[in-house]
Amino acid sequence: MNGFGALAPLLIIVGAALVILLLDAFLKKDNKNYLACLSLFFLVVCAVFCLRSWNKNLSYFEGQLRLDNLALFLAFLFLIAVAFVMFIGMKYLTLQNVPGGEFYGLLLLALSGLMIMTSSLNFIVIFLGLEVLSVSSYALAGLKGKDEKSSESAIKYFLMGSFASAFLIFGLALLFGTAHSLEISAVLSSFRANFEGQLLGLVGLGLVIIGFAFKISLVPFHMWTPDVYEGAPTPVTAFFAVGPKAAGFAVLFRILAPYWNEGFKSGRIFDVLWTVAALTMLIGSLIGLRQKNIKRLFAYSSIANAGYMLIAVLAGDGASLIFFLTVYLFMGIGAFGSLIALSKKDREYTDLEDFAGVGFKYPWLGAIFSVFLLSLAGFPPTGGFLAKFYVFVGAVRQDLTSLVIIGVLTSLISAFYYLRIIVYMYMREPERDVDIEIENPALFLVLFLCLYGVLQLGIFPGNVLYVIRQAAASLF
Amino acid sequence: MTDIGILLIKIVLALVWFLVLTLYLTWAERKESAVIQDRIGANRASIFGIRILGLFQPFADAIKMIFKEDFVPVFSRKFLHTLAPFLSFFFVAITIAAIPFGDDIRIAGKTISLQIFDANIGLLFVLAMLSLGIYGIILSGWASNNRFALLGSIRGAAQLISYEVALGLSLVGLIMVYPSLRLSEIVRAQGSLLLGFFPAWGVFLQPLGFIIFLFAALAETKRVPFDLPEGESEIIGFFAEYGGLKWGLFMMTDFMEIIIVSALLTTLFFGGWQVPWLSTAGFEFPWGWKWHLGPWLVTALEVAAFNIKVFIFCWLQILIRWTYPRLRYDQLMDLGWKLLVPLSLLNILGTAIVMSL
Amino acid sequence: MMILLFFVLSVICVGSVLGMIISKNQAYSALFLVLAFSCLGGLFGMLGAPFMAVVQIIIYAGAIMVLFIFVIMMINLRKGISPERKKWTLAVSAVISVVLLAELVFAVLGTPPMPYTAAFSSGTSPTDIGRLLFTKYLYPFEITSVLIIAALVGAIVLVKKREKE
Repeated sequence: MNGFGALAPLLIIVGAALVILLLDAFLKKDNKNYLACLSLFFLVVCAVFCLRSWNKNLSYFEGQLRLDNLALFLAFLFLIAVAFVMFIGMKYLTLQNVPGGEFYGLLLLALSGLMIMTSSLNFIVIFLGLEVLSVSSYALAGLKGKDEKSSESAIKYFLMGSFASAFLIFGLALLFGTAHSLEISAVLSSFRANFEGQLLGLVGLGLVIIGFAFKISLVPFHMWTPDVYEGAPTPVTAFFAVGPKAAGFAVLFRILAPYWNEGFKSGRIFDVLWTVAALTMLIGSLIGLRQKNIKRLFAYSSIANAGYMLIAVLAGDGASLIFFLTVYLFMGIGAFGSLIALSKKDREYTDLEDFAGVGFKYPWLGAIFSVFLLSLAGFPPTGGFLAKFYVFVGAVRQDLTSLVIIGVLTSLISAFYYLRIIVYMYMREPERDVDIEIENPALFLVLFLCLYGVLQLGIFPGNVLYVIRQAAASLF
Repeated sequence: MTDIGILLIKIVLALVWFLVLTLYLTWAERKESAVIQDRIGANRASIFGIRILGLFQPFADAIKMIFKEDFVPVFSRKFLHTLAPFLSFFFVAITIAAIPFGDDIRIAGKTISLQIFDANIGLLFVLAMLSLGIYGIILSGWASNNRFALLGSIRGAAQLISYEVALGLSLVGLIMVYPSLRLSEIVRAQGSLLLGFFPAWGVFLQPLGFIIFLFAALAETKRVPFDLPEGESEIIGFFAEYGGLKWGLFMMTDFMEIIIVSALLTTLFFGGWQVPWLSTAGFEFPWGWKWHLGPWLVTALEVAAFNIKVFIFCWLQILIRWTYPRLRYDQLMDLGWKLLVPLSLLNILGTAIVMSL
Repeated sequence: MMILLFFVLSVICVGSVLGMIISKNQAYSALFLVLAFSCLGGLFGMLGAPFMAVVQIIIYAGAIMVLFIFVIMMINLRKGISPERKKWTLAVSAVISVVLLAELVFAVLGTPPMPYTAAFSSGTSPTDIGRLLFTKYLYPFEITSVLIIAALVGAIVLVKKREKE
């Protein structure tokens, strides 16, 4: 039963998505919260299965599905992220008139895509998982059908995403042409075998990386990010900021870490990615300075963070990459959750001006939001500080000092725009009338859990780091 | 060289068979509708005063159509307007290549199959060509630059695409039973006997598949009760801006589709050229009798059996066309998507379950 | 004979792709693309992969492009991008495509010719492909079904009318 055990988590998620969609279609209830509870039940069951297969290294389909510890840890992260997104979605859906059944169903399908992507070492499977994720994401971005911005973001995401997929699949074709296989290990060993004539494969690998760079919004390919983040329903934006990015980086790491180990660390791809990382951090922080819309600001913040994560990839430092992703999950969802807390029926407050004086009017909310912002800016004692710290230390050990210097400088720059929100919240007189509907226990549970996560990871990261090291060790 | 010669002869023979049958199908349609409506029907065309049941009528029709003015509306897109009927005609005509007319025959030590194009994807080839036939409809409507024609062609394209799904899915069960896409092999497999005496024809093994295929194929021929694309009585169809020979090509395409559908029904569900209990040596009845026949006679019987089956299905389709009223558009879509597609999926599931028992 | 057919098909194929790009009318572009797909189908058939050939025609030329043309003819777009913008986009895209072409040419030239392995030509019949799909590629094949479900649900979500309005 080794095989079936490996497939079980995925089966549960896909089955849950189908059940939710069917229930929503046939039980026409007005309150969709029961769907959220049902999905949560499935998520918990899936999490139990994931926990039980820890350290067992299950695999199925001739190794095309491989539940190593990294995949399990990431699956666990995704489960948490999706559960959080569902919780914060419960308030949002009722207030902003977003169809519930589709939201939960598509979110579960996207989750299955994430898990497929990260639990395989085969390019076809990774590509298909990415497509499952992307296709559900396009629909999720356009869920607010009446809203023009939402439709715009769906179309933009769809066009850019398909463009990226075209790059990816062309790259895969070239790789298949050179390696005659789409297993990552086989592709890499073909690079080693014909070191001289690898130009075609190099172009292929480059195109594959470009395909992923679109999804994780690295700099020349980041254009879609602000518009999509701004237009998509906020819980969906929270999901975009966390899920696809983590999965994309995990896959990129699975491809590139062995590639560096093959002795290509001074190769062309490394140099290009070095430049991309520097540009990503610079542009993410510099353009973020000019943003007046909080969702767009968070989009640039997520671009800048992608740059830091890329440093970890370049350093081949799996543990700090995963730690960064974990912390980013809590602070990202926490920040977007706070945005959702600041909303009422048919109205969201996303302008910087709206935040003036919020800190005194809603002290708890203001305080929690400030903690997430400080964590994003990288202040101790939050998780954001430790995450950046580990990444930079790992990079210095790998002689990436100049990149680290850029990283430190850009995080100083970006600290400015995070702090500006806090300044607005506490040091400005309120100019606009902001009244919000606070009563939502689910949302506050998530905010509390995220707060706990950020502080726990910032102060006592030991246990989590131990687990993460185990997960990262399963790579090699 | 002889191979190419044989191939050419086969192509010519098949096309002649196809076109002659098409011509006389128009006659059959007129006569049958006349009988149904208690009229006499076309019987005036004559050569030197001889008019055997109006059998010369098709030739008169053809001559009339050829000599009509070839009219192309000024506002149309000329090239596509001209291309469309030929496309329609071509994609139906080419499908005859995949139909097996009889068992292999041997002449002077050469084995010749009575089929032009015997590929291992024969069935898919037929479906592909039928699906390309949609372009004739779409282009004719669009190139006419006439709103009614465009609407007709859009109705047509939507209908054909919808029913193509059911058409393809209904055949999956059949492909599972006779594990091949090669039409000649499907026919051969139907020559075996169930329980020692019952011919293993597709209709007995796949009754549900047969019914779905029949409905879907009727819809593909775009005739009453599925004639929304052309809507000859009240709504204007996709060839509103056509006349003369080009209009005639569209009409011929319709009749050729009837023949192709009949040939497919015969080949897939009614044993093709198989005659029950007839093998290469002659009849071998299950109760023990044997009746030896020469190879030529066997071949002739098989080809005749194929033709008779095709005629019967042509007759059946004309009967349906003159009996039933037209469906409303939403009924048409409901039938296709909500009945035929789920039923064909069920058929696949049922077939799989029975086969795995 | 085969060589001749190959050249005819490839010339039509490349020509129609060019026509697709150059043509001002979207409907003509789509029709050119259909022609290109059909020629590709023919080329697949010549390579000894009849199944791929037919599937190429059924799926791309017969189903997907019909829907494309359907939509294009329904909405009957006439305006393209405004001319002044078109000039510089044209220039930029020309430069970029020349760079990409040069890059690809270098990549192909820089790669030693690889022997054509028989591994790919062995199984091209529908039976072989079916067997591969249900053994070696079962997992990707099943994921495809999840992908299609996601696409179906997504498409319906994006276009359906909201009941409460």
